[in-house]
Amino acid sequence: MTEGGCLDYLTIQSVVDNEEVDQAAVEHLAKCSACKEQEKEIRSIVIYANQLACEEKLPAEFYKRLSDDLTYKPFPALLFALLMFATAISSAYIIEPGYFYWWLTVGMTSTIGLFMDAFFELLYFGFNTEPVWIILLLAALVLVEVIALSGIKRLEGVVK
Amino acid sequence: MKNMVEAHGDSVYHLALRYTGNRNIAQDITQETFLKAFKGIKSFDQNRPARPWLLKIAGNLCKNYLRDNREIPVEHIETIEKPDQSDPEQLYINQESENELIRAVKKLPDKYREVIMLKHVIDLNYSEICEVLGLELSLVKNRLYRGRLILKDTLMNQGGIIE
Ligand SMILES: [Zn+2]
Repeated sequence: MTEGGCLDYLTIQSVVDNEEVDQAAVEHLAKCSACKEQEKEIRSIVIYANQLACEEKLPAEFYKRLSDDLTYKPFPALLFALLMFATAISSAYIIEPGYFYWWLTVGMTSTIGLFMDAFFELLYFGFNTEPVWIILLLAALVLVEVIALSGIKRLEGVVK
Repeated sequence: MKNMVEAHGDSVYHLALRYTGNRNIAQDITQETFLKAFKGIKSFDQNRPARPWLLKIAGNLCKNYLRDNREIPVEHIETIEKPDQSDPEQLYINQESENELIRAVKKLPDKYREVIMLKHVIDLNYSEICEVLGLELSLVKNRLYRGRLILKDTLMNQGGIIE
């Protein structure tokens, strides 16, 4: 309450908002015209602002959409990255064992950073990509590898 | 999970609807709110009410949306379903004054708008608003009062219908 016994504006606002206030405040408001005037003013803006309330319901299919999103499991990324890695290595071995041994000894030490980076990129990629693209990419990788290694063989005269 | 959506989905949706003025975006925000909530449910104290927590997530998403889409005019805001709108003339008057109101709310500084939204869109009480916004009771009361005053001044300057 203010010094003159009248209510402060926050108390009057609390009354308008149906919040808990002292019984004395309620009693004062009931008989003080100055406070009542202020109450009327606050109430008018409250009633106006209450137009912001809405009645709309979420569409019926909302819950289904949400649970679909929650149960969506991305293609197992780790498996995908391992698969790519294993395919690259095993196809290298099948096409040309010599290069595979070279890579395991000299090549791997010099390019290990590159391979680790590639591995994590693939892992990230696996989380965000549809399986069909992953399989296509895998096939493309093997194809590139076959072409590249066959090219090297031809260059070095392994294939006549 | 279904219970949580059934109990609080509409409140979250209403808040998003008033912030964005667009049903599709409001549904997206509601969806994202629940996705975030379910991901963070382990860190949430299950003994506490879920509504303030959900509204806090939703409010932040809405504010991010507004920050990135400041220029949406009120004319592009979709008409929102309200009760008792059978009389077309009354519907027109209501829609006009509602648009005035939305224009005025859009002009409010963030700190007042968030309190006004929680009070008038969701009808939260003071202590719930405190919980959603992490503010002291006195600050909530003050911001609500200041926000309403600014709203009233803005409406009067716009030549709005308020008396
Ligand atoms: Zn008084």
